[in-house]
Amino acid sequence: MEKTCQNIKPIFLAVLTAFAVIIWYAVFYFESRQNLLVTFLDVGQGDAIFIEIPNGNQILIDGGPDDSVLAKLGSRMPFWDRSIDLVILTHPEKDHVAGLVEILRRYDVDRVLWTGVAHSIAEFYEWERLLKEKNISAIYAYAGQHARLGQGAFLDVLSPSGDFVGKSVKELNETSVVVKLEHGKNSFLFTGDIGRSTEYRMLSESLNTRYFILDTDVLKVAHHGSKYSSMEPFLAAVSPNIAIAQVGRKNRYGHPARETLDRLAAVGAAIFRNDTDGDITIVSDGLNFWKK
Amino acid sequence: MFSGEKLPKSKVFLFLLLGFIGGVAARSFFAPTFEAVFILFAASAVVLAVGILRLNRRIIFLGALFILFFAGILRFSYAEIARPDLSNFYGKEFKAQGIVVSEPERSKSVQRITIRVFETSKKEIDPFKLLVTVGRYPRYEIGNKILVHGTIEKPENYSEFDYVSYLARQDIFATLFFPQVEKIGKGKGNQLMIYLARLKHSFEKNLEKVIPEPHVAFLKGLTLGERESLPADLVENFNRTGTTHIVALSGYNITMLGRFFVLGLVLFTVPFRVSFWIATAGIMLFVLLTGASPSVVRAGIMGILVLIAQKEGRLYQMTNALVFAGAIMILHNPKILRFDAAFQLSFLATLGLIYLSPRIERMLDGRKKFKTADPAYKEKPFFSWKQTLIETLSAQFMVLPLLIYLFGRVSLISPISNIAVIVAVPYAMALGFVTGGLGFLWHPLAQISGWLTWLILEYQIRVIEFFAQIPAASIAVGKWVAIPLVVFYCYVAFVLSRYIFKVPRS
Repeated sequence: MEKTCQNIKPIFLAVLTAFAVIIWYAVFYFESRQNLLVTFLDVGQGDAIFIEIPNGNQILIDGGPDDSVLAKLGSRMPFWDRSIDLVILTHPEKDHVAGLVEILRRYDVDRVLWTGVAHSIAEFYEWERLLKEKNISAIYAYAGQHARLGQGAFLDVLSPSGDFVGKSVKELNETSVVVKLEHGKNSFLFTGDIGRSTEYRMLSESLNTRYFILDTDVLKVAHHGSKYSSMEPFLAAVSPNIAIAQVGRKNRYGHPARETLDRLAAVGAAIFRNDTDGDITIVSDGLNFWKK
Repeated sequence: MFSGEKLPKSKVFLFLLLGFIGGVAARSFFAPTFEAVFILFAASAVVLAVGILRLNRRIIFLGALFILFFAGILRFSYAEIARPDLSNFYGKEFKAQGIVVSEPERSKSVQRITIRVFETSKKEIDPFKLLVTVGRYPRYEIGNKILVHGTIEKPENYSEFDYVSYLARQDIFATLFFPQVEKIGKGKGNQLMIYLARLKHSFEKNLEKVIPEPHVAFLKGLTLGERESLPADLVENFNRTGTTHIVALSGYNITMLGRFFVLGLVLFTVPFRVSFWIATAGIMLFVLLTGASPSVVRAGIMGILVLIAQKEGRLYQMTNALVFAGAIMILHNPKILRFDAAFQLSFLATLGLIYLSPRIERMLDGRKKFKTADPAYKEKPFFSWKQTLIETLSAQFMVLPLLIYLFGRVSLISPISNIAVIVAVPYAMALGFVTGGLGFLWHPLAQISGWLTWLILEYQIRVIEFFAQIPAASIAVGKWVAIPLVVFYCYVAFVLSRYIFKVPRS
């Protein structure tokens, strides 16, 4: 018995040391968290955006075409953090929903914002099944919704403006949830895969009703930089300083399109893309923003 | 060797086994005509008969040796003939019904499922295995009965990779890409395998809940040999640092696991004699948990052999045990001898652990005599760095020519990176098992243990990243470099064989 105690001593010490290391890691992590971070994750040809608010709230917009998002989140979130406060699914196409399936399975997702639109791919069925199985509260997105995220951060839903719950739709891209994130003086616009018709609609709504302002600092370029999105009038209204195209290396669609890049350059946006820049993090302290 | 003295029984046994393995080896490279084999087979039978008539042991031995050599040839030929004739199926569209016979391989975008097809176009047929590639969802499981509709194809090699032999080793001669799939039943086939697959699945789920990626993918590689979900950049880093083998459940990993059992029990002052058997039982349980695939069973056997070698320290008997184990594995699937790199690497590493590491240790210690059992268990309560260093070096040394031949590159820092990573492997494995097990009991406990596991995995991943960054960590060399190395090894083996085959006189 005495011998056993002696033998266990070093193990006990090792475990205590490990806990000390872990606790200090946590302390430094909390200390380092001052600014709002928006990271456009390099998950191949698809969208995945991770938003970290200094008070600890986390938002994930879309999950990319496969499970790559898991390793990306794993390296961005502290290791003890197994929950995400809000997951936004812009629309349930494979390059947006596939990675979210495993996210729902492994993380405690507090709530989900999506349109409820129907689709007929296996990834979507899994998504619906898991929402039900894990009893995750779903909010159906509708233009005009407004959420306070804390520490001077707000989230506004700009589109869609129709009810799509349970409906099959021909133009799934146009149903994309469009949200605007504001943090102090800085703003970010996430456009999903919308095409020009939604752009024109949002533009006219913004001009006629003045419910919302399109002018934004950082723009997630719609539909991976497709040439049928990001039209001149829309870009002129948004007038982004930074534009980010979420595209995969050598993707078969040729995204982002030359024309789109030219249009973005014409409004004076600095363009970053995941295929050449990897993960792109934009930092905002409420007054200024910069690319990390 | 064949001098006047009578050949001891143990040696007779060894040479007969080597005869069989030689036969399989020969047939793996050449395909002689059936007549030639038959004539030679008859000739050796005659030799054997003459030996028996004359009661001459040496002639009997010679005859038996030849017979076993031809048995090896026949065993391989039989494996070749036994392949189903699927020429009627290739390139045609079919509706086929089958049962998923092994745990699907899941990568981050597809699942590869092996099904045993027993019915096509509503007609019952001779069952054959079919490899079906489908999307990531819905997930299929072993025992599912599914209906697939698509065009069955004959496998073809890609640019560098001998895909045909790779599949043939698993008795797969037909593939099907992205068919329409309908699940029509579940729980069919071997119930034990289904139960084990479920257990493993829940275990993985427990880990995934408490440890983030990519750490959990790495841990699944370490504990279960699953490496499909490892991110590509991490795999590249493993390759650059020559540490890929640690996520492949080799015999080496399993030896580590067994030793951890032993060490853990020694801490509680359980004598080595007893803890050794508990370790062996633990390894068997582990092999079952991972789904008992042939490659893991092989690794388990090799792991136990190394433990025995360290317990007994009688190398001349180990030779027989090792060759016997190898012969049984080859008898079970003769194709592994030439076509299964994992088997070859595992076997060579085991050779290194059994024969080389005690030698190096003796060299370093300057001791004259071989000890009977590894004192590391008895004297040091914890892992000895020197022991890890010696073992890593001896395993690495043995597999080096094969690695060069297979991949055409050498990782120059591999000895250092391996030692730095491998010291933590047993802890990561043990904590991983504890975490997955606690997940069945109480989630918060699993979470705490998960944090500790994470810390160790983080250390390993950081170390691997660090070493992979070093320029010229891994350099390309011509495959021919393997040849002089093999010649050198043969020479060393010949010198050593005088010791290995020497039977101590009692």
